[in-house]
Amino acid sequence: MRALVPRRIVLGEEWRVTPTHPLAETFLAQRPVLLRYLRARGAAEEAEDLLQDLWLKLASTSGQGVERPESYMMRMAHNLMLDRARATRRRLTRDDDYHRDGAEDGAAPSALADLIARERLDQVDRLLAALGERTDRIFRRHRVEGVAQRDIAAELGISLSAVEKHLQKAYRAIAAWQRGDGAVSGEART
Amino acid sequence: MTGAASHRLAEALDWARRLHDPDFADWDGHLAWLEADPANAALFDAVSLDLEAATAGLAPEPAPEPLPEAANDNPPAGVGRRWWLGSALAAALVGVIGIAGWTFRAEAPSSPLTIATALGQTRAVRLADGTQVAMNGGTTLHVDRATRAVSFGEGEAYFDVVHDPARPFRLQIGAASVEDIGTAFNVRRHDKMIEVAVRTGVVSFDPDGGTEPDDDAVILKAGQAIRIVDDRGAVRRVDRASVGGWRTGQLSYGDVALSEVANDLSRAIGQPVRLAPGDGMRRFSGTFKVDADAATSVRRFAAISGMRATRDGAGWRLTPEG
Repeated sequence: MRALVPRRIVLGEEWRVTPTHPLAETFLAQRPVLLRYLRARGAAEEAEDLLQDLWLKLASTSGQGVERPESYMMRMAHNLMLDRARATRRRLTRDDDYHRDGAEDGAAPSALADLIARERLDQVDRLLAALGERTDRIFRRHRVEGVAQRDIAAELGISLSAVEKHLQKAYRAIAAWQRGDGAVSGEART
Repeated sequence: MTGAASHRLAEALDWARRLHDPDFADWDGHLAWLEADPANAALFDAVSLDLEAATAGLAPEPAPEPLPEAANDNPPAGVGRRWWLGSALAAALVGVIGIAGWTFRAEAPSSPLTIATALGQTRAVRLADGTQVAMNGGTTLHVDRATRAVSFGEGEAYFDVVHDPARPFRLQIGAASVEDIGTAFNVRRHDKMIEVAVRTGVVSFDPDGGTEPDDDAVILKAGQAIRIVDDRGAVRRVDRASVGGWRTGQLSYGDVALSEVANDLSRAIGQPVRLAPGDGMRRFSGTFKVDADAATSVRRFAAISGMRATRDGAGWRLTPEG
């Protein structure tokens, strides 16, 4: 179905950027740093293709009302790389599952998968509860509801760095639990 | 884990935390960190996906039952609740909207918790009783904080219910209600149309919500769907595997109005899909796939429904082919 969208329109070495799009100019100016970012995230020789995907995505939006277009484009590049990593992981998991559970209808989560998901959520609930209710609520407000850390700090009347400390505690506890070992140490930058 | 490895992991987690913030803007700093060590990118991807996996479907509020306490710095539950209530009130006043595209308001303990998704966005939510809800775009649910009763505003959602014979799961849909007998089912509501389709188990559907003494409840088994339009209902057979298929981008229809499909498509891609009123009456049967690429998704549907898709402002217009 992708064939409906031309994969690459070659104009010399450049593919075409619709010049009338409101974000075209910013995109062209941002192109070098976007490429550098995609490469730093491990895109290697696919960086150019991914950059084109990014433009096609951008061009399919109206481009109106974007507050910080540079940051917006970097966010898109980040999302593209994360989508790619997610697809790779899903493929590896699927190959793995296939051997264990070949009969499963691919679209439907199996009862077993549901059970595992519930068990996982119970464990995460318990783990967060053990960190204290304040950390638990701040983490959910940030991670589930996507409220900005600055806004959480304002709501609670505490400093931004206090919110960051609560979140670091929760992030490290989850990572340590997933890796099945002790604490994650170190003063990371904030 | 060595000290250095543990420190690198802490850094990667911190970048994941910072990038999750809707206001994040320090891309130069992030780029510098990535370029400082070629191994950082893979570590960053790994922790980002691990966090996603750990928190998918996590409830917006801590688990209601008191859990065994492993730490002694927990405030008593009452204190914590009051603490949060004040802040939730502040949040409601400024109209906090999450980056994930759904809103959460808690004006008072008696008011229902409203969970809503924007068009084009989906959300997995776990209710207090363990019921998993997959919400399609443009959907609103209300959860009563005290009774945990759930009522369906509009849109589409798939419910996977943990059956508890002592406390059956009940869903209010306008005047009608659905009660599970251990099941997974899908609900769609738009204007005057309500549709409940059962994937596994059995539900009892009551068009008047059990308020009338007459026993007019309908038992729906797996592979059956009821559709109510203007108080007139009909039960039909559906392909079980296609129930809730929207969760994987699969939309299936058997002889429905084109306007209804256009409405679902708008919800899925987050852009309006318009039809001339006369064309909306056309019938459609078939299955097609929608994904993140709105233009391709619309053209896919146009191709199998004999329509032509053209851009129309921020959305699309479908006109008969030829």
